[in-house]
Order: sequence, then structure tokens, then C-alpha cells
Amino acid sequence: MARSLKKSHAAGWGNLPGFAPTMGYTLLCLLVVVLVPLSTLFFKAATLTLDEFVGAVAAPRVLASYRVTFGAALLAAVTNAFFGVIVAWTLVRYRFPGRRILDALVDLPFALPTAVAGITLAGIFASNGWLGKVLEPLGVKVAFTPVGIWLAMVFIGLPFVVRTVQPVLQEFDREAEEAAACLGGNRWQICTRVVFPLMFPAVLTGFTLAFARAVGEYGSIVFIAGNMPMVSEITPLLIITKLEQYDYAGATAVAVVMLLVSFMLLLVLNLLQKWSRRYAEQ
Amino acid sequence: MSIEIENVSKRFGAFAALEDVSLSVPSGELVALLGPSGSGKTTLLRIIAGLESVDEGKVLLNGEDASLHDPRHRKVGFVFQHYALFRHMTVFDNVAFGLSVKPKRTRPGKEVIRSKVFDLLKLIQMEHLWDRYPSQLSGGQRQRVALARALAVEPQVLLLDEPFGALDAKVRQELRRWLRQLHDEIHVTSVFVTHDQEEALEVADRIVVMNRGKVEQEGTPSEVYDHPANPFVFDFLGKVNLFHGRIDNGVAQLGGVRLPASGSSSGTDGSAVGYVRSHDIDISRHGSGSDAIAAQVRGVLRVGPLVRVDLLHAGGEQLEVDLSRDAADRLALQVGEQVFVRPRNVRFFVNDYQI
Repeated sequence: MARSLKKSHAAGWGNLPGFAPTMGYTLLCLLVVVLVPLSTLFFKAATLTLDEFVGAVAAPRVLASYRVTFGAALLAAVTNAFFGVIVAWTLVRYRFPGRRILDALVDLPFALPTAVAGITLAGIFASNGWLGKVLEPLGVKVAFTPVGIWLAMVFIGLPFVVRTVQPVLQEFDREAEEAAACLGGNRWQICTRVVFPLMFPAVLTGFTLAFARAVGEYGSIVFIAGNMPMVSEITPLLIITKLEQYDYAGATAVAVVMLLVSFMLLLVLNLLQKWSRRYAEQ
Repeated sequence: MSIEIENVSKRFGAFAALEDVSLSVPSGELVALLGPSGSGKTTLLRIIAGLESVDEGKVLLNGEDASLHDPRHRKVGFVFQHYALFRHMTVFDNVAFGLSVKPKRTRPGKEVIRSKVFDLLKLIQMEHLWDRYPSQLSGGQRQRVALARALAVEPQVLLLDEPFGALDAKVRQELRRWLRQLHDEIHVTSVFVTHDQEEALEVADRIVVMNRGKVEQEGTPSEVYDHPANPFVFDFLGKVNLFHGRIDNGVAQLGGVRLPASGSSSGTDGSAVGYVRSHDIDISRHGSGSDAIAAQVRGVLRVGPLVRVDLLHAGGEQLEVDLSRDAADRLALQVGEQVFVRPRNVRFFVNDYQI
């Protein structure tokens, strides 16, 4: 007993049992599910020469698709962060009839097949749809424009922010707010200096998840985007198009770039996340 | 600033947290609200702070109706049991918070805030920890920061909700002595809530004993300890032994002995209960006189500076007696041995009051 304690201490892993099997499972899981499929992407892309690779990933039409995808995804994540916080706040802080139903509705975008969402959104916002009919005379075109892409991304990303912020608000230390009030803080100061900073890490997590989801979204967007090259064509669609033309290497090259950009952005967001929680116990 | 509470009642659903409570705290005093959990003491404190509204009655701060003001204008400092520090802020920012949220007209400059915060950190002996986050501090340090934060805005009333409840015994004792000294220095009217009678007796100028939403007794520590108004107060402050018996014509019959019932709460006859503190009972081996009660030693336990003796007296009731080590050593009591107990300072309450 004493010897095994000493040994695990020397290894620096504490003495919680079960490290070997759980770590083994974690590695196996990540290897089979994430790393192996993704690495074949790199192998496939590596069959291209450098010139071919650059030609495939930096063609004007491809560059435009990056802008549309990442731009719309960022905007959608920002929108979701804002409205998601309001929805979470409403659900946690107020008691009203129908709250449970509203709470359940939040998860619907998770469960709905994305194609259904895309078709429904396109139907509503088309020039002869319910909302399209109202918006079009005002000069706002949603369906078959980049705005439609943004809208679809907002739809599929909303639950992420709500579901990450909600538990944090539920567990929130109300006494911190009361303390701030006793110290003379007004409602606005309490929100900006106490409530929001404490909520920020959760909002950032929700933002990151919503963003990642939006970047990878395909099913709902293709129905509402219009898919005009250079204007409203997203990168995932471009990859599919290339596959349909049997340009496997070109498709994987674009996929690799998308993967790297996503990874970099997620890494930055995670670092930001860590920074925003610098006060927490180690 | 003085605090007047006039006929305050508060209900939470069907539960009456406070029933017609009146209380006055003169300016500059340190008052303890003492009671078991659920007695309404925290609710009363939160009502004074304005964190809770009253259903009936009034709270006057300095003679002015406080219900006109929300918490941020009441000039009260509130210290929470679990500190309620802003955990995303450093110690410095926590203490500076109250000053930095003041309206622009009255907000002191950055340098003034800085020097004031450091003065307070010096007061709580934590200047060197100014850039730590609350998660990096011990419980006692966190509570001191919470106190400094409350004092920063120069409150006219300091309210503390079980301020030492979450701390371990040693730190608790240090901190409450420190609080007493601090109060002697700055003389801010203070009210603190506690369920620990020792804490209340040691720290407070006055003690308000509460039970079931009502004030049972109010007075100086020695008044409430030495002259409890009713069985509840007697029982709640310190250990107590009960002798069940009768009072007839001013003489009490308890466990086969007769005692003059001078300490009766009322002059009436009837079945009565005698209350004796555990340190107000003498034990001897010789039973002389009519006031000695035969008893059997059931257990002897050394508890720190005291020796606790469990006895069963002739009337069939359990007794718990605290002896000093010296007295216990002289007696050298053996478990099972027959002795005689002689209660001093018996208080009688005629049985119309159930506890």
C-alpha cells in the first residue's frame, strides 16, 4: 500500500485509482473517432503538389466561401450569445406559466433534422412565405441570400448558448448581487460589474460551441442559402460539389484548410476561456 | 445610527418568520440576535438591510422610515455567512467596489480610493494579499475581506449574518475577539446574528434572544444568562438540568427534597419545573439537610477544562453536572457510586409554559 502510494506520487498523478483504463479508453476513443478519420484527410490532401493544393484552396470561389462561412458563423454566434443569454435569463430568473414548455422548445433545434429546419426556414422567408411576404416589400431579403445562411446558423446554434448559460445562472450566488446592492451599486452596475463578468466564461463556452456548430452546418443552409458562387456558397457545400465532380483530393484540401482554421479559432477561444476564468480555484 | 423596529411581521407562504417583533438598537451598540435556526433572526437582519420587505410594521433608521429606501441607500454594511465576495475580483477590487460604484459627484479619486482600501487592508492585516482572488484565501481571510468591503463605504449600521458560522472553532474565536476590538475602535452600530450562545455572550453589548419569530428576552449578556425570563431562554443559554415537582405554599417538592420556591416566576401553586445550570450543582458523599438529593453516578467524562458528571437522581431524572478539574479530583467519583447533589440557584417555572 505504502509502496504503491509512493510510486504513484513519484509519477505525479496522485493516487486516484483507475487512471490506466480511463486514460486508455480516452486515447482509444479520440484515436478511432477523431484522429484517424481526420488524419486521412491530411494523407489524401498530401497527394496534391503544392501548386495544386494552393490552386484548390485559394481559388477566388473558394476564398469567397471561407468568408461567407466563417463570417456568417461568427455573426450567428454573436447573435446567439446575445439572445441566448436573454432566453436563459428569462427561463431562470422569472416564474411564468408555460415556462417548462418554453424550456423544452429550446432543445428543438438539437432534435430536428437540419434539412427540415432548412426547408421550413426557406418556406417561411421565401418571397411568398409568411414572413418573406412582409419583409420583402421592406427591402429585406432573407431566403436565398447570405442573411438566410446567418438565420439558419442562428437557429441551429441557439440551444448551445442557452444550455451552457442556464446552469451557471441557476447556481449563481444571489448573495453577491445583494452584497453589491448593499454597497451602493445600482442595477446597471451590478449587472455589468458582478453578474456579467461571472457569466462571461459560460457565455464564451456557448459562443464557441455555437460557432463550431455553425461552421460545420450544411443540411439546413443549403436549402435557404441560394448557393450562388461568390455570394452565398458555404465551404461545406463547395466540398460536396467537388466530391460530386470526383475531385477527391481537391475536396480534402479545402477540408484541411477549414479544419485548420476552425482548430485555430477554437484554440484561441479556449485560451480566452481560460483567461476569463483566471480567478477560479486551480 | 439607531435602529428601531416597530411591530414587524413577515410571512413566507404559510410560515410566519416574524410575528409582531419590536426592538430598538441604540446608536453605537453591538447587539447579538441569538436563536435557533428558523427563529427569524436572519430574516430580521435582512429586513433591516432592506433585502427583505416587511408585511406589517416599520423599520426606522435614525428615526427615519427605512422603507422609503432600497438597500443601496440605507447606508448599511452587510456581511454574509458565506462571505459573498466577488470571486472574479481581487481583494483590492472587492474592498474598493463600494467606493467605485458611487455616483460621479461623490466618488473619491483613484488615489483616495487606493489609500483608503489599503488602510482597510491594514486594519484586517491583509495588505500583502491585495492582489489575491478570494479562491486563494482561507475562510477567515475571506470573512475579513468581506468585513473590510462592508466598512469601506463607511456604513452607519453594520449587519453581520452568522459571520463566523462557516469557520472552524479556533479561527472563529480569534475573529470574534477581533470583531469586539474593532467595534470598540470604530463604534459603528452593529447587529450580528448567531446561534452560538457563547459567541453572543462573549461579543455583544446586548443580546436579543429569539424563538419562533418572536423576541423571548432582551438584555445585557449577564441579564439574559443570570436572569432568564422564561424556560426557553434558560434552556438556550447554557446547559440546564430539570427537576420536575410541585409548588405548594411557596415550598417546592422536587425529587424528595423541599426547597423554598423563592425563584418562582409566579406566585401560583401547581406542578412546576426547577431549572438549574449544570455548574450550579454541588456533589458530595454525605447527605445532610433537607436540600440534598440522592443520586447515582452514571458517567464521568473529562471535557477540556471541565469534568462532566452524568447522574440519575432519586426522582428518576437525568442530571448533568459540570465540575472543575480540582473539585472532581478531590471527589474522585466512581461510576455506580451513590452521592448527594445539592442544587444552588434553582429557578422555578410553573407548568403553563411548554418548551
